[in-house]
Amino acid sequence: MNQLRQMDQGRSANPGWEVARTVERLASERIAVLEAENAEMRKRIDRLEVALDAAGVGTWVWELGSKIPEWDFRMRMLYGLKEDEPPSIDAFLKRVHPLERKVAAHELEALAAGQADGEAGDVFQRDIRIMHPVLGERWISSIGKTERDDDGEICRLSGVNFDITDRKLAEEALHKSEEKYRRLQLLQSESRFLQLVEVAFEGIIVIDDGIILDANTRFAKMVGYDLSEILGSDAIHFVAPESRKLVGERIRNHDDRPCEFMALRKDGSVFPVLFNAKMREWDGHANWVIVLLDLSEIKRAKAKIAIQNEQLSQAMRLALASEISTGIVHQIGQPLTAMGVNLAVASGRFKACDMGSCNLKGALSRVEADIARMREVIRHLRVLATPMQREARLVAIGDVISDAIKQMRDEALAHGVSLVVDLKESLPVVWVDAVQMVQVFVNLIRNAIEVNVAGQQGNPSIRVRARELDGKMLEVSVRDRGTGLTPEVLNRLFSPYFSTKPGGMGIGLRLSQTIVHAHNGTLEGLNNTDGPGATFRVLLPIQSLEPDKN
Amino acid sequence: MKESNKIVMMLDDDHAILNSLEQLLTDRGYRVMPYDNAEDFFRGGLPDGPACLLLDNQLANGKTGVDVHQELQSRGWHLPTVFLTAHWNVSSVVAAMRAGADGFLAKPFEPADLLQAVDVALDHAVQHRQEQAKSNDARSRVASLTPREAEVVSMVVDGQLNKQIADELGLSLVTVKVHRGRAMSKLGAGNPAEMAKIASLGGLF
Repeated sequence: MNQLRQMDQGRSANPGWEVARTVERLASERIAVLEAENAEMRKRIDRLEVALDAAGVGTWVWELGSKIPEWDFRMRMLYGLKEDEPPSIDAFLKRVHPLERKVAAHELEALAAGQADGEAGDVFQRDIRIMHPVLGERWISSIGKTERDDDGEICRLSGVNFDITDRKLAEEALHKSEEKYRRLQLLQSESRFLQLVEVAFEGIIVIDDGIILDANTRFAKMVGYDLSEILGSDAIHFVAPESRKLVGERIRNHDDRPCEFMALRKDGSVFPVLFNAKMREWDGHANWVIVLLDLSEIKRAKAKIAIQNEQLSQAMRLALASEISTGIVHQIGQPLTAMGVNLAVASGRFKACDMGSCNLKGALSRVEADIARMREVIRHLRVLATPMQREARLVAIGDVISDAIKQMRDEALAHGVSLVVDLKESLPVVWVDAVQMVQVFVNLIRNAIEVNVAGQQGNPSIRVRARELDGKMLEVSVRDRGTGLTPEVLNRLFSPYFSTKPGGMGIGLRLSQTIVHAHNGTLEGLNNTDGPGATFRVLLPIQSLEPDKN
Repeated sequence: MKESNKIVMMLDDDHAILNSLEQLLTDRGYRVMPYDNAEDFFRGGLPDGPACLLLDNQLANGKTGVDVHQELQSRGWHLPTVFLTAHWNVSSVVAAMRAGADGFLAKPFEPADLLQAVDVALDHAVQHRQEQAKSNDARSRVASLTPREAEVVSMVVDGQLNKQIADELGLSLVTVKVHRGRAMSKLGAGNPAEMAKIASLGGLF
């Protein structure tokens, strides 16, 4: 430029110089522009380089004709190329992780051959695992683009690579921990499920197309086989022959409603089960989860109760029959004896007398009196001999006590005896024969009324109390304020025909005791230790099972 | 037939039966002592004269006939007893018989059977009294013997001859004969066999 300026100052008059100067000017302007562009370009490249440096991004270009791709130095660093080592496809493949090398080679071939991997556009991305000679295993993300020439053929590939090892490791760690968590969840829920399945009272099986895939221990126990024998076998083997038709139909019709059928044990015995199932169709398979409840215990318990009821009824019938017949023997036997003797007297006198001076009147009128007496007895016994219902009517004892009290209130009132009732709100359930048990309480209350009146202790009163004794027994007691029980009376309290009442038949307590015994309870009479009179206690076991209401 | 010295005692809490039996037995000529409870019965005491007892097994206030029978036996009463009972089963019969019942009747009984049982029981009573009398008599007779006489009697009953007795006791034959004669007359025996019986009954040996 200085030269030109000097030249310019010395030759300003020459027209040739003006052209030269213009050209010079244009040229220098052009050069300045070019330099500026160059500088700009440099700046851009610098900035790009800085950015690429910062990002650790390597760039590459591969002209498909040549075997040698162009790698910038960052690429070289990413792959750990040595100073003098030229980049090449082989060098690249050498560094790819052995397990992925084949795939990578194949992909490169496909790329080179122009078969982009099916995705739209010419951009491809891949995560490549490499073995860096110094750093070891690294992950590289490779993003590239294919360029096509005018013929549409792929001529050039270019792209970037950058190290994503940290990300990958983090991803893997996350994946692993997620996996671990999932596994743990699964294990926990599995173990909970297993626990549930194993502690289930029912037998649980899973069947698929009729084959047992899974079963719990309870099922194995129910049918008497080992689990190993059960798994994989046909479920129908565990159904008793008599139920196979029913069960077969159910399975075929995908009918999973509850039903009862007979199951079959290993030893050939059968037992009733309640079947409950969930059927799912799945992939054309019928997959069933079946829950089986062994009903034998329940049926046995029911049968036992039915038998016990029958036995109770039977015991009552027998007890009463015995009481009645004994009653007849005694209460009829006495007057008959007297009658027999009186008639013998009468006939003896009749034989020995002469007309007019026969004293038969006395004897015969006594016979009449005895016949009347027997009539009374028969009437009394008829009340006891009410025909027994086929099944005893069982009710809760609270109702029976209330009933008896209701019946006796008036009688108590009539005798000026007050009736105090102490019944707990919620009495435990004790099932009793209503007809018979009410007689027991009526009898005890009546006795208490009569002894109170006879005893004439000020404030005649009776207390009827029902309460639970330590969860096992129910106590119903009738307490009076009479004269109490003498040792002789105590001794013979429940003996038949023993009565302290004039004209008493003496079977009330005996009968009551028989009825209470038939209910597995006890009846006792004791003098009160804390006051006058005596208490009669009925103790009955509290039953937990409700009887069958057949 | 008048048997007014024969006594029938009765213990039964059933008045109808007591009445009727009283009538029947009185008509038959027995003397009747009816009781409706055990206390009065024992308080009344044993009568003089042959007596039997008709005893109901189910009495009021807790006593059974067997109890009463045991009680009268423990008092040393000899009273043939006929049990009357409305219930009879094996155990009550056995109990009564073990207690020493003379008879056992189930109610209702034939009045004729009762009368027969009473007769049998009273026969026992009469017999017993006669034996008692005999035994008492023998006892007093034996008591009236002197020691020497008693000795002689023992040896005679043993089968020893007078001579042997004389030798053993160191007495003369005559003395022995005299003792023997007195003893026999005191005992009221006519021959050695009788003497033996009476002496034994009287508790000499």
